Amino acid sequence: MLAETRSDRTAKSTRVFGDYLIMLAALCVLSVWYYGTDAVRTLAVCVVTAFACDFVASIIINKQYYAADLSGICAGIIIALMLPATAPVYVGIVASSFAILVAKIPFGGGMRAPFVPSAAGFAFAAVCFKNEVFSYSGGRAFMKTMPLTSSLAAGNTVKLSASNLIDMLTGNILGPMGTTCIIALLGCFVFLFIRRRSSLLPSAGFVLSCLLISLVFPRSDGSVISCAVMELCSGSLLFAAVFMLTNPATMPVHTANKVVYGVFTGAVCMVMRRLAAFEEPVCFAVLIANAFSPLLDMLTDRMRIIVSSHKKVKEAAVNG
Amino acid sequence: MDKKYSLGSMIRAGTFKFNPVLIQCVGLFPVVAATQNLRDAFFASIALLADMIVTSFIASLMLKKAARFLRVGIYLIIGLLLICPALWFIEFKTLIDLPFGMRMFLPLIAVNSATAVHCETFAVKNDVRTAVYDAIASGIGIGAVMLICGAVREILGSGSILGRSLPFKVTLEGMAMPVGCLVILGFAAALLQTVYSGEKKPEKKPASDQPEEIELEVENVLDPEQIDMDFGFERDDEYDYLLSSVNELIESFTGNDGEKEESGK
Repeated sequence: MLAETRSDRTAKSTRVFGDYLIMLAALCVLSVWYYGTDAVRTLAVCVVTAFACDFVASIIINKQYYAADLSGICAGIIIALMLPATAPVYVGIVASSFAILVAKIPFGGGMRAPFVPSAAGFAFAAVCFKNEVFSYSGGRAFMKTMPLTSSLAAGNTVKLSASNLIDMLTGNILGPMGTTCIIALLGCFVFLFIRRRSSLLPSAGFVLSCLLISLVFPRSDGSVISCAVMELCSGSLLFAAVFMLTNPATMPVHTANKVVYGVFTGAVCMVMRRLAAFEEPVCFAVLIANAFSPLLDMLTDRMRIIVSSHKKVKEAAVNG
Repeated sequence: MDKKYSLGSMIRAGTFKFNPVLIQCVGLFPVVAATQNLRDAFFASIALLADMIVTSFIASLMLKKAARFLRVGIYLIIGLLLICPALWFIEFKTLIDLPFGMRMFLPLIAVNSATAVHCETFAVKNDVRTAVYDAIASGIGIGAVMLICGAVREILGSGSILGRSLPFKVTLEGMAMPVGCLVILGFAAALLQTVYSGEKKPEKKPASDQPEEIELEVENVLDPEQIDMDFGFERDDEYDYLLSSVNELIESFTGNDGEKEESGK
């Protein structure tokens, strides 16, 4: 097998993250529609910081900067869309620079990073600026003011009605500025289904495990179905399923392991939603699962070697 | 394997080139746990330096013939016998107000891996003077890293230095957590490796200049011990230090050294 050159990696990165950019563009438009100039400012801060860090770090480590490698810009946009529109400028700067300088560049770029850079950047910002990252405000006057994650954390369930459901699906609820519009995220799932079908396996496992856990262990006293719908539509859960779990650099290679990886991430996320200090711990769950991803592949490879060696021993015994 | 080493070359090697924390990755726990601020880092580095010197001295003087499984336990006991009474004395007999973190982490510094690894790979195989030099060099290396981590974490995480607040409006609480220390260690290790990767290495001739087939007739193969006498102390000193502190470190963990000893018997 030939070694992958840097130009191969850049071409692959352009292909993968180009797809992400197309999907992210739709969410950016929606966030600007809902939050106006606040969203534009947050997006600009994160993208410019990510690009600048990528460019400067490439110069410092004497590597040519490839503009076609879109992973840095993608990380910046993903972080921006997970932040509240009114987040202070320094939150976006810290999150984006951490994602690029700590989680991406030292490991050799977006296609080699063992942890999803945007998840690492957002997690660091959440640890440093908990109040700023999880307090949602701004937006248009008609938007519902109580974020779903806060409702669930307080043990409240919204009784499902046609209007409530439409609000949830269209993202007409305060929250992270680009992650609340469920219809747009379902569209992203369809796009990924057409473009990279196999990368959806972790997402499928993730969503199914979240759904199952929320059905079995509802967080509020209301209807189980309402609670499960709220769990799936709240915070950045589906957003992470589209943009973090499908990252080809961090997901396992073997097909079955991809599903296991997704299920594990979902289970960790739901446990953390109940026990952790943060309202939306999906990024932490993704980072934990990233750490186990190579282990899953290694175990599978070893199992295959053991099984094949057993077969050979049996064949040798049969043949005498 | 008793060799003569100069203190300068050992400090250069032990503190910088083969820094226990940044290059050999031992003793990470005290660095991560006890360096939330510069004051804690200072106390921790002093405690660790004293622990390493005393333990290495005793190991080199008295424990060369003890069994390995006993030696490791003895290192830990020596550390505790040194640090716990000192901690008691500071707390009850002096006016020094130790921070809460230090009261918790100083006893744990006595059982850190750096002391055990350096005693096991170096002190018990060298004379007392060399073992103490190695302990000083390694202790200074770990202490320097601790002080750097403590200062950076206190400045970025709390917006202060030695308890005095700095005019920062934004502080990164994450840097005061263990993850912040690991990030600093990563960058420091990268910086150190970058510094030493720039050192001159013997140049290889280009392939086109070399003949396709070379037949060498070697009559007298030089003994490395003889080279030591002829080519000066420094070069061979660093080479030996590399062998003793890195290769034997790996052997001590994999158990190859022990197997060799047993097979030799």
